[in-house]
Amino acid sequence: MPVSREALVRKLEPIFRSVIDPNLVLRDELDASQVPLWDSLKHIILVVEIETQLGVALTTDELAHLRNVGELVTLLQERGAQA
Amino acid sequence: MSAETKTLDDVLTRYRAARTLQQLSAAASEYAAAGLSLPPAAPKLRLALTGNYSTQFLAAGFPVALAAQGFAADIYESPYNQWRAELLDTGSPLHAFAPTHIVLALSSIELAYGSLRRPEAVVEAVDAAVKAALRANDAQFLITLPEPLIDEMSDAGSAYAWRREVTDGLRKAFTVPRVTLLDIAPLIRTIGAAGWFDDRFYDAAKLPFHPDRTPALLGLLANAVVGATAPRCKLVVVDLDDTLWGGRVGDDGCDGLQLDAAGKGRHFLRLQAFLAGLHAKGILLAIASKNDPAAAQEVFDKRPEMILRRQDFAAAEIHWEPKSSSLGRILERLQLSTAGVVFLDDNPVERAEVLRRFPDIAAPDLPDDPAQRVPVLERSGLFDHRLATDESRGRTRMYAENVAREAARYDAGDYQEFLRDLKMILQSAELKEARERVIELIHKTNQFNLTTRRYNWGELASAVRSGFGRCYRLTDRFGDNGIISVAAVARDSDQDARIDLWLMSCRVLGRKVEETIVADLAARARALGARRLIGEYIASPKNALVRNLYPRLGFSEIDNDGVTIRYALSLTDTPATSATELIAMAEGPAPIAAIAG
Repeated sequence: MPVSREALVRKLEPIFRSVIDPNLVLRDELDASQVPLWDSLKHIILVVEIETQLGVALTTDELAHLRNVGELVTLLQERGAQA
Repeated sequence: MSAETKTLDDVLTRYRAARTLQQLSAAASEYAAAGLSLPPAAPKLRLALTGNYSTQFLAAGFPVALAAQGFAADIYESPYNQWRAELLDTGSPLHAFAPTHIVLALSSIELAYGSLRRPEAVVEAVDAAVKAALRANDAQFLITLPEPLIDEMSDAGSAYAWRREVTDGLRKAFTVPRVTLLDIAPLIRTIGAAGWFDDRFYDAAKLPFHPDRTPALLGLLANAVVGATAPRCKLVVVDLDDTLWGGRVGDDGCDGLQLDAAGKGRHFLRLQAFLAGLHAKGILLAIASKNDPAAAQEVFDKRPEMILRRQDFAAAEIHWEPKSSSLGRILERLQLSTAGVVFLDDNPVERAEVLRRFPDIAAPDLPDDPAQRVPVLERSGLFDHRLATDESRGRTRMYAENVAREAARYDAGDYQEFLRDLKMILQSAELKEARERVIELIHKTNQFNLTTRRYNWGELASAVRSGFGRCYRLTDRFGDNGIISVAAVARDSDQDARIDLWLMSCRVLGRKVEETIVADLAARARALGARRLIGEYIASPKNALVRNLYPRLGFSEIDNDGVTIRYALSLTDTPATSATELIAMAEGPAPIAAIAG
């Protein structure tokens, strides 16, 4: 049984906050273009932290282009991420 | 001011603990955001970072990494993969920055698969760019040698041949002191290929290693930058017992020392080989040992396994005085300042005592496990001066002022203060509380042993039947030294109490412990009604150390039959107890923790 989207968001939010912006509130449509502090460097840190803390490995394409929170959550569900 | 200092320490502690990119990034941001500054005297360097991969994380981390080494730094980072243009064009922003240090971070991935590809083309390009820059400014250069590619599976493959050709070519091209070539292959090997390589991040972000390896690589680079900058290590002062060889020559004897290359001696020989390598590079070696000089010399003369010979040491201080005095004398004899001096001693108390007087020397924490010592020294960066020379103008410019620090005055009062800071607690207990250790010490201790009576338990019990026996355990702020002394006092007559046996570990010599113990023995003898405390000294081949102990402790000689010298201390006068206030006495057998708490 896949882990719920809500559980994943609960797990992701502190990661986003520690890496990008302590006041960030996650929603599905949120992407890097709406968050000035979410630059390409922060994005790399974000990916590494998500991979480490949720025990998943993203592919090169996902790692480079995935910047919408909703898509990320869907992907993590497919990968069987642990929340 | 102290609050600011603490904040800086906090950030640096966080930096040193950083194992992931996120942790490094957080420490770097805190350092930048807080506007933390090092003491105004801290040397400042201007570091330009250029290369052929994403160097942003390194650039962001460099200020805090260098601060952790005591350097303030301004950083300039070239745009991605602009190293050739930046170095070749003397009007480039990199040159305009006027760097004191240039780090050229090159990854094999772009070199091997980019436009240069052929080894000779790579060498030629690096050579041309770096030499143009060397002419244009006076910066120190640090170039990372191309790392092994993930494709490098065996030494028969083409990736290996490619890297070898490039590396050999670069080593041949750069032999000037201003250029340091840094091979990161040992770092990759330490981390392991599985933890290092991650192609996804090269594809997505032009990072040739997993992002979480950034702190490790940054640490290596910062060490190398500082190594090319810091005063070159010029003198290593080394302890003997349990540092240069295993065991203590005074107690274990020359033949009992661990120097067996196939056994426990191997790790001591490793350290000797390490020091011999430094010696071959022109670094001076000296000895500071609390020992009997003749016994120490015997090891050099009679143990063929010794890699270092006595004549390899430019100076030797072998006696029982504080090691800070030894170091002071060595520096005076060799006409050296404290810059670039490293002190190696297995005993943390000795290191602290030396650092107290000479705070700017390096006294690395040698692990208790001898096997860990050479790796710790190799990693310390203390000996990584590589090719730097004192003549380098970049270095001279960087130090605004070379403060010749005069060795702080250090008088008897300072040493007392050091002893007070040790927070020593001497716990006294009956012999039966530590029966095995007491017998072991009786049979093993040679140097601080007044009568060398090798009693078994029965003999010991009858020696103290009418008197008392005590053993002493010493703790200090560095930890528990265990049972360090044993004394047996006999009652020969109503008037006299006689110290029949007294021995102590030399490790705690010079810390006023013997004064405290004799005061304790005197008090106990007085409580039993004795009017005199008698001390005996029987010379042995190894106990010259304590020949004058009793006179030093205020005893007067009363008799000498050629074998035994007897001394007496009157118990009817109140003895001076200035020594004992440095050491708290506690009664056993309560656990040490309870007493210390």
